[in-house]
Amino acid sequence: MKKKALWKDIVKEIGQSKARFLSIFSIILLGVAFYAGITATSPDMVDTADHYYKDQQLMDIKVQSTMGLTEDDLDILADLEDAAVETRYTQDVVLAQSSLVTKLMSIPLNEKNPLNQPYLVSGRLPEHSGEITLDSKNDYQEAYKIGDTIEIETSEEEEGTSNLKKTSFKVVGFTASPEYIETISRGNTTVGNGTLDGFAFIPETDFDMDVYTEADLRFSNVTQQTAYSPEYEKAIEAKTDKIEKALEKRPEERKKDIQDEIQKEIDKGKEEIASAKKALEDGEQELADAKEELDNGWAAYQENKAQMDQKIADAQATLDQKRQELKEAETTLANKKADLKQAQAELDEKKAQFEQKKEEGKAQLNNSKNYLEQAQAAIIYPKDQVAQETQQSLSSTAEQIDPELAGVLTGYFAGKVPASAAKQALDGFEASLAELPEEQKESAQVFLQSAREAVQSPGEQIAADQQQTLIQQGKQIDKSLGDAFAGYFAGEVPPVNMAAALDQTAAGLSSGEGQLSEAEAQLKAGQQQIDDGRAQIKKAENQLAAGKEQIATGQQELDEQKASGEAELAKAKAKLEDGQADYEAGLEEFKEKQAEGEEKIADGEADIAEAEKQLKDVPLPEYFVLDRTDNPGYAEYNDNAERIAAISKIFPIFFFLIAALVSLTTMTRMVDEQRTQMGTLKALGYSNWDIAKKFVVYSMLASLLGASIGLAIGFYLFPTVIFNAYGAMYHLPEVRISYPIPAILISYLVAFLCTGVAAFAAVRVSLKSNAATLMRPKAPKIGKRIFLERLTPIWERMSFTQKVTARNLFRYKQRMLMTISGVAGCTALILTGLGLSDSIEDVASLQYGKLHQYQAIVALDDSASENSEEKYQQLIEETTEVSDALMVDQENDTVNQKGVNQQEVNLFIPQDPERINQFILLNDRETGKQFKLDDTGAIITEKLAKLYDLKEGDTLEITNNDQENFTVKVNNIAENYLGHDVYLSPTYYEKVTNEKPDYTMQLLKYSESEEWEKTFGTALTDQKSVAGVSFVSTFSDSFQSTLDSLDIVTIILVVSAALLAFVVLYNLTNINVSERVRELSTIKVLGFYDNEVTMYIYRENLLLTFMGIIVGLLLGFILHGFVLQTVEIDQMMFSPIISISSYIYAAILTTIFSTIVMIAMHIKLKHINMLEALKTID
Amino acid sequence: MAFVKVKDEYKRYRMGETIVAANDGITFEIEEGEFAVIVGPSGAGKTTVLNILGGMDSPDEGIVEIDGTDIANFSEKKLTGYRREAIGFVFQSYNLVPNLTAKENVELAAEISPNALDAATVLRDVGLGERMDNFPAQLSGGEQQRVAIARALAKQPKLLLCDEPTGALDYETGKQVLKLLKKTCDQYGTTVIVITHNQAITPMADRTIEINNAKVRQITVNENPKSVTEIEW
Ligand SMILES: Nc1ncnc2c1ncn2[C@@H]1O[C@H](COP(=O)(O)OP(=O)(O)O)[C@@H](O)[C@H]1O
Ligand SMILES: [Mg+2]
Repeated sequence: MKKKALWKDIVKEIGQSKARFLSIFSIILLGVAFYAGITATSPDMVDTADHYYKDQQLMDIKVQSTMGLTEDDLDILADLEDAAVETRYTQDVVLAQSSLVTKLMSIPLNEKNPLNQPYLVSGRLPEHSGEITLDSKNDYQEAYKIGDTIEIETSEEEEGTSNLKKTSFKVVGFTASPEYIETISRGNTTVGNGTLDGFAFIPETDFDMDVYTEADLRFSNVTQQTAYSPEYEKAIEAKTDKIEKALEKRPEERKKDIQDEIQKEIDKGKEEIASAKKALEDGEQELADAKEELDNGWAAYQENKAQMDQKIADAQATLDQKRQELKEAETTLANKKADLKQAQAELDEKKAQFEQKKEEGKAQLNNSKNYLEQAQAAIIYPKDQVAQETQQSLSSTAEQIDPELAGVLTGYFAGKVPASAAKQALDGFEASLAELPEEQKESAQVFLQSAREAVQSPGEQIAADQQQTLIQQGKQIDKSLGDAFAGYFAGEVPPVNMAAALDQTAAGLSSGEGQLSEAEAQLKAGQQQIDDGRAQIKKAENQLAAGKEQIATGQQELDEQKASGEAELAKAKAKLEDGQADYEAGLEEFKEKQAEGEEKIADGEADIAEAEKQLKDVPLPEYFVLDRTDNPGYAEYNDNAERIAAISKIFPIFFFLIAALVSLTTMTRMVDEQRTQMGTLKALGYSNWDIAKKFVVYSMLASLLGASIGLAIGFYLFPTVIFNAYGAMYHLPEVRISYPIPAILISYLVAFLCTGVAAFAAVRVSLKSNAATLMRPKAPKIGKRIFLERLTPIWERMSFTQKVTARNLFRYKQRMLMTISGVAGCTALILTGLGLSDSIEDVASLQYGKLHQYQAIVALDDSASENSEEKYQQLIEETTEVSDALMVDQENDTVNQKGVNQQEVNLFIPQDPERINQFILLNDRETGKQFKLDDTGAIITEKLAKLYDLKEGDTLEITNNDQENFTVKVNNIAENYLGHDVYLSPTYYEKVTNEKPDYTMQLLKYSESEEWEKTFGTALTDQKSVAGVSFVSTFSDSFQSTLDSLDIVTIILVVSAALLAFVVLYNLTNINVSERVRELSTIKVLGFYDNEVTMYIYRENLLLTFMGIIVGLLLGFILHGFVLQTVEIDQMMFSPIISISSYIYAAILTTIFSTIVMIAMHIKLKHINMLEALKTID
Repeated sequence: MAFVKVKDEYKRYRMGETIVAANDGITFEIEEGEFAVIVGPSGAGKTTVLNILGGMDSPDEGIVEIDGTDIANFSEKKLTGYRREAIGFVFQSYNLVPNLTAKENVELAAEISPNALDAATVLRDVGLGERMDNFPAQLSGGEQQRVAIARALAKQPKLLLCDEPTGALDYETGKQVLKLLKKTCDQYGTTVIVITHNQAITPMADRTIEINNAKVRQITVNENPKSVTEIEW
């Protein structure tokens, strides 16, 4: 056949049998994609990490020592062949605001490309002192932003911060680090709760340390090797040996150096103590001298003071006496003055009285004189009034008549007889007239008449008012005078008398005037006396004043003297006091200094003693030569990659086997179909190879096309998806896609074997026949009785269709086996995938649902005061939601044993071991038997036991943080899925470690919402004694999300398996149909309805599928167990149980694919052209 | 009223650009219980007619009445039902299911037929009482064709259609098969239509329909058909 014709024929063939071509193409595509993808994943993972390590210059080897590294150490390291050595300071600290336990690492500022270069995630690297970049872990990114200032907790007993020049840093960026590729784990520390939360970089210059913490080494020729490769590991092993050898003598040397240094310090200390002691003694002496001087001064002062006081007191006494005397004189003077004053007063009063009297008297006198004149004027003598002749006549007449009368009348006229008496006499006369004779009568009468006229009372002569005045005035002068006047005027007193009375009064007046002048004289004399007294007093007063002045001056002088004396004394005293104060201060100071000095001396002496003791037992420094496997996650990452590699070695075989089966069947069928053509060609004289070429080329075309596309998809898809799934666990850059030549070659080889060879094999058989045989239709296979038919009772009970199905099943044994194995393979893959998911999912629910029954762990601050601890306990007691609490001691230790990765173990020492099962269920996974934690041994967890092959009764050596070993006896092995725990009772712990447990953690139980938990959390962290709180819910969640990422692998398996199942079923059914198209057409002609036709053929398929599922579930169970072992990491134990639902899902999924294929087939069968199929081959 | 009535039946096939009429206005009638032979050269359109009569294909035009029912416009499903109940087929290349015994092959048809005969009885009737449990591959061509006939008969079809039943058989065996068909026609009263390109067979037919070049050329009704033994070719 000519080439052109061949190709034409092939192209035509492909067009005519698209389904067949596609089925070969897709099964090869699937197989190759899966194989190549999953095979490349592991190397890609390693390659990605390797590039990352190279780009960031991850150290190959790290040297540390228990006492830090000195220049001597570095010199040795620098001398190593092709070694680049860099030093680093590190210090583990707690960040104040977030309580994150952080490893501070130095980063050189001038080095452009340092070892262990941080991988910048955001911001920039530190460029100046005081700048920091933080771990890009979520905790840090949540707690801080770029630009924030971080404070480092300057804890009391942690001297760590003294290794830093600063405790406050500005965040300038977030970084990952090639040393910490894991997203969560950062290793252990001696700070905080013992677990590092993350790392941070600060400038080298912000450290203040004498020795380097570590030296990082990188070997230019080792680094060429790929990380994790055996070559690399071997080279590192050699280097490690070399370094260990080079450092062999260093511990001794270093010890000696340290001892020398200590000795030097001891000597220096001793010297210092001696000088300190001397200084103290000097000080004491000085003080004593000063004290003496001061005491003397005081004594002198006291004496002076006493003298002066005496003097002043005397002077004062004299002065006081004088003052007293003066005072007395003053008193006398005052008395005198008072007397004088009184005398003056009296005199003045007298004077006044006298003046008044004098005036009065004078007035009276004048009045009286006036009055007297008036009164004298008023005295009327009747003789002066009555004419002499009348007097004579009357007196003469009266004589005649009556002598008596005449006497009365003469008396009257003389003024000796009062008018009244005269009148009375006249009356008497008149009365007597009657007796007189007549002739006399007449003359008597005339007489009488004239007498009467002559006798009148003065009153009748003087105006009445004048009378009255006189009377009154007279009365004022003298009553008798008045009365006299009254009588006078009445006429009863004769004027003589009256005049006499007046005279008498006048006489009285003149005597009164005399009295007055006498009194005046007396007064004058009194005044003189008083004035004299006054003068005397004045003199005395002057004398007094002078005395006073004298005293005042004296006093003043005294005062001045006193003042000056006192001032002088005060000065002296102040001086003394200053001296005293100085002295006392000095004393105080000295005492302090002395105490201090003594303390220092004591300390110094203690130090020296200590140092001397130290000197004796300076520990031999230990040097550690660590390689990358000590970086958290470094080895596990490779384990994970290897796990994928393990999967890549198992699963693709399935795929390829199935692909090979499918291809072979397909090609065999194709050859069968082309028999006639082959025969014709053969008859025409074509060579066997010429004839076979078509099939080989056809199938290879399909498979190589499938393989090429499969490679393209697989190399990209699988590494990307799987790597990203691990992205949740590891912080690495984007995955590096590689195109490994071996995988490509193998893929093409397998594709070639599966199809080309299969095709040739199929063709070869046919080509053995001659042309004629070939041209005739292939002799129908001889129907055969099947085994079942011999079991007559069963066979006869079977329905016709059942019989037909059974017969057909056994007739096409090859196809039956293929279908079963294809379906079984798919079911097994699906079940394995789902089972993995089960095992993984179960871990979280079992670990945090069944086993860990507490809800929170509180880490308590060791250094907290008792008070704050009590407060915390009170809070727990008062929070009624908290139903139970248990104190535990938790320690992070390790187990080292040759041949097994080093394992981190959690030591749990519950304070009350009886109650541990209420918080953490310790039971046997299989029997569910609960274990009791007693004092005879430890309970360890299952995976740990498995890793070290431990059984109950065995012993396990554990290394604690201080690199001390202790051995525990394994009493029980408890179910556990995450991490390794070792449970010890306090008594047993003490027994094995000789240490008392330190209960710094508390487990809490409650059943509340997360909302409540949050508020409770803040209440807890507000407590001073709480160093940290972690909630099971949060790490359960985060753990769950990590596990969920593993689910991707599951999904990949399930999806791949599903696709495979589909292709296999479709292809097999397709072949089945085309192989039996004549039979199917026949029954169609016979009147089978479409669904009857479908069922006719599919009944077999369903049965095969069912059988395949059963086999697949079994196979899946085994495969799951195997895969689980390879997938599991050291810190985890997956639950080996596949849930019933996964079995069901696997079965249902397979059935669903089978059904989809059936529907496709049904449509295809419907369109079978029965006429065409039944056409007689002529 | 004729049992089979085909009137102005057309069937055309597209062969690339050109349209070929396999049946070009075919018209004929066959009475119930007749043994009819359709004869014509290869490619004349006989098989096409038979397929249409048997409900395996539908005509493009025309009437195809079987027992008074026009099946020309039947749906696929109705046609299947029609085949199932009314039609028995015998092919030149037997078309037995190789994986089933003779009896099972018969049962395959009987299984779906409402008034099927017992498979064993029918096989005995066709003279294969002894070979019932043999697989097709163990039987000779004639025996196989007899199994095929038995399979067709077991359904008690109204119409037994045979497309070149003797084509692959030798003379003697062919005669035996024809004999069996004739016997069936006589015994069961089944209307039998046999297609052949062999003119020699026509004398045994009650009715001969000659088709040539997609058209019916001649219909001959034979009042006295010969027995199979009498004819020779
Ligand atoms: N499915 C088909 N496609 C195209 N042409 C066909 C088909 N079936 C039959 N023919 C054509 O129709 C004509 C009649 O065929 P057929 O009825 O088989 O003839 P016979 O049976 O008499 O030999 C032939 O020319 C044949 O080529
Ligand atoms: Mg024909």
